[in-house]
Amino acid sequence: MTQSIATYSPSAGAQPRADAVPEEASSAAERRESLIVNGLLALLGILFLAPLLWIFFASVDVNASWALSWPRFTLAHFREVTRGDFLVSLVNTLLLSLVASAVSTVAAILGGYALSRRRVPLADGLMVTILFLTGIPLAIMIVPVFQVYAQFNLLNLWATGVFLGVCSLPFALWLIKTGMDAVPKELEEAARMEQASVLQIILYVTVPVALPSIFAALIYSFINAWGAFLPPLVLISDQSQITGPIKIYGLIGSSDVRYGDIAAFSLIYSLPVVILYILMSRPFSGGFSMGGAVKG
Amino acid sequence: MEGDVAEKPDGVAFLLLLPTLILLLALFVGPVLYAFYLGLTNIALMGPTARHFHFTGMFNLHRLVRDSLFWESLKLTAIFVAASAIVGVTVVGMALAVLIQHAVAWLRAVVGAIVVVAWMLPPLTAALIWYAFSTTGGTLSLLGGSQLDVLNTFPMFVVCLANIWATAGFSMLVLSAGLRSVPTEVLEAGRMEGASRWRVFCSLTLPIIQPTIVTNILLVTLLSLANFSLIYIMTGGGPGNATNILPIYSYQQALVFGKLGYGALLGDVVVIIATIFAYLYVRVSRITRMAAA
Repeated sequence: MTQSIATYSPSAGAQPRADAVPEEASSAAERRESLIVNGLLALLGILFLAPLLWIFFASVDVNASWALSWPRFTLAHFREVTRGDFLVSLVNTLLLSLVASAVSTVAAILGGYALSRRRVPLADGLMVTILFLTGIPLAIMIVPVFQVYAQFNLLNLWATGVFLGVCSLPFALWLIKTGMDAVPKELEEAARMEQASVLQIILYVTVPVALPSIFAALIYSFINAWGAFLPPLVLISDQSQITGPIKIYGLIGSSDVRYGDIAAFSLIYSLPVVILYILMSRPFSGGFSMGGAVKG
Repeated sequence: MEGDVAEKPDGVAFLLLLPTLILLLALFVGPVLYAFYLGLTNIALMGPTARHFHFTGMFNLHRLVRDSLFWESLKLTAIFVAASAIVGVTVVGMALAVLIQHAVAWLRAVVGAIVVVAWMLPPLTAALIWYAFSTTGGTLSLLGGSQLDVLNTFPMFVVCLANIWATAGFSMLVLSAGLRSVPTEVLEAGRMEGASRWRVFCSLTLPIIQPTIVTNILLVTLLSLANFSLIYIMTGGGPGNATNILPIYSYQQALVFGKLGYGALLGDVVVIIATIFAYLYVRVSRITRMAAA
């Protein structure tokens, strides 16, 4: 992404940007500039925060509505949405996401190892194809997958989980293959001397060292399935198997809208994603982490 | 040791790749190809042609070119992607990335966190938040003093704003990484020459991070093309057909009106559009990787 840097300065990149500017008496102009920068950023921050506030306020408000207003505090909404069908739909979402992440991670560990360590004909072409697949919009596969699932009586939670796992597989494979490329080959050679089988080598040598990338792939697949809306909407026919987002969608459209319950349930439903995202960004301090963006 | 593993194409590698290949063929590549076949059949959701459908050749294609709703939907898709992804998300993401680079530490931590949270929220939550924000009786309508239904009055504008809100964080992260890689010496040299900050940004920073910007635009376009849930939950494609972008029109035809074949064909159009952008993305990321090496 940054190929042009080399021509400018070979020493760039690694060194931190904050050159501790000990410039002579920073002028009024400079102070005004920093005021503008911070002011603009604060304004953008407020604009981004404004829609978000509603969900927090409404979730604890006795008189919740669609509008943002200072809440008259209650925990009744949270009590209401942590039992009955609400809880069932959350458990369904969890099961769906566990199936999806297991399918994609196990397949990607085996396949990633083969692509990273073994001689695979057309490996480069395969990797490009895989990168390419990550760009295909999911919504489009719904019609053919629905048609096939309906024919084989597979319109249920488990088969939908497998489908969602496959949807995440290309990127998981990409992550894990790249992570395994960085594992020194010497580690495996010692194990091979000891007559360890390929599966043993993968399990006891490669996987532990490549764990950060495997972990990232697992969380990526989990988050994807957790957030999925259209696939569970179309591919799960049994009402007792519906997932969190479908439950909320049903509530929004109902005749008697329970604003507070919707907000509280959406908060609970969204929380795991936020936690997992923070966990995922820990092992990588690269561009795609929150830390990286915030530290500048 | 290395030798005998690397030399001959081995069965072990094939076995290891087998689960991946089976899964991808059965539930990814297969469905995409199957959709192209279904798109040329008369298959329906219910009724006699649900099971006994057959190939109808160019029939659906003829219907497609004469379907004014399709052309309208294609136009709306272009507007949605261009306005929200190419312009909105990229510009807002860039503004955030630049401002965050120069702002005080606590402010960039707080704003960075808000924007990233907006990005990683599940699609349903983002759509719900924006529905509450813009529908009758929502925050925006009350700000106007009246019971104005902002979402119904400016549907496309509001869903574009929602998409920008929900995706700008991604753009910010990508562009921040690009900005960090710009050597400060270059920028300082520019400042020494007496160029204004704006000049330095336009004629030094932008050209240097141009590959990052291109990558970012392609990725955000793909993300927005696939963004069925946001619009579907907020407007269902309406009011009328005001936000009926192709993924939604395809869903409607297939699973609401039961015309699975025609719905599949509409989906194929999206696949073709996405393919072009995905192809460009692969090309660009390959070129930059080769140049970096």
